[in-house]
Amino acid sequence: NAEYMGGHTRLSEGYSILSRDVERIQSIGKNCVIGQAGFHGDNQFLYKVLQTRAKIFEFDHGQALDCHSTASLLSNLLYSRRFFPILSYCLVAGVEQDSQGQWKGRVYGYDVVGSFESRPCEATGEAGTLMLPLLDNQVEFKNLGPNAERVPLTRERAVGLIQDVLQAATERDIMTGDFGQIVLIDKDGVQQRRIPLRRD
Amino acid sequence: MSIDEYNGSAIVAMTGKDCVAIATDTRFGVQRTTITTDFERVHKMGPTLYVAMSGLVTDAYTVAARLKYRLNLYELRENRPVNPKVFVSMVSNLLYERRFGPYFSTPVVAGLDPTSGKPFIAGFDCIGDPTIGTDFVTDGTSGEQLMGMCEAFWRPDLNKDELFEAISQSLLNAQDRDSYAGWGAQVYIIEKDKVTKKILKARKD
Repeated sequence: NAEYMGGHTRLSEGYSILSRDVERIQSIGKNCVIGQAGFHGDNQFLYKVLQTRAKIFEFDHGQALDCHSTASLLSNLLYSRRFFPILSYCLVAGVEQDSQGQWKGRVYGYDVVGSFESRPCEATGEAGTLMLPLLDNQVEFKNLGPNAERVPLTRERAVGLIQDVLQAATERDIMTGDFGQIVLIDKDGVQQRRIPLRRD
Repeated sequence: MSIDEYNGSAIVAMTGKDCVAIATDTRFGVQRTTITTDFERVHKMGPTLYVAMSGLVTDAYTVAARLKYRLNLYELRENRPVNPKVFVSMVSNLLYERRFGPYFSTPVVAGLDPTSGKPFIAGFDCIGDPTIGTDFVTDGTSGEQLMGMCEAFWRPDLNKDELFEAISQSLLNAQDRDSYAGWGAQVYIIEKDKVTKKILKARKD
């Protein structure tokens, strides 16, 4: 019934740091956020297009886009540029109501041409490969023996896990660091937190 | 397709309190095809010294054999087991001899100093640059995945059981995110007086 997304705020070009304070996770609608890795120029462009399309949807239909519709829309936007791709590795996360009215959290991962899938957890970007196996182990309880404790994912544990994962990525990936932006999404909206990361 | 990704592997070594562990996957494949699923990557070089080779398997075999040859001569001359630091120099020298036509295989060394029992791990690049690790060393096509996992699970002074859990979970979850590594795992826990080899069941894909 809630979703959490974490990202870092360093923008680098080669071995230089262009900015320590770039927000990579932005809101679309009330209960949905998009996090973007990859080429920063394309990220900004894509976000603007997505925001505009979301606004148009609201004017046309009188209600805001919900999470899976945003996910679908993003897929179509990315595929429309199949032969000159938008180099944006996106993650869409949010909460939506299912047919029984229960709020469910969802995460959608994408490739650059719009292929997407809803998964319990996802990580992308330069350090994505460093973070993803840890999420598999702690969120999906993969490779844990039958007697191992499967700690349920409460809010504190989820935020703590994202912090750990960002710290681990920062330690071993040179392009990750400075600050971590953690976003919590539930039915009441989106909250943001920031944690300091190593600045080297 | 890179030559380092022709066969595929996952190798990790970790230090603990008076112990080290070295673990590898057991897949031997040729690009997408899996040939065998019980491939031994770890080679014993001394009573408490083990080396695992990643990368191109033919070069892994050759380097391991040549290393054992040099090590045997060393032990005959010196009449004592080799010190891991010296062994690292031996590996480095062997690989650098092929500086402009390298072996496409990188070793990971794990062992205990024969006299002091201090844990020792090291990794290399394919031309012999040694990196003596203080916490863990990772290698293979799953190297990045292993880095992230080890960074989260390792902490100083793990006892042998905690070390086993840490290295096993790191390896299993990392190799599951790499299609070129997996199909089983072998973990060697090296202590001063004994070496335990454990074979783990993993996802068979």
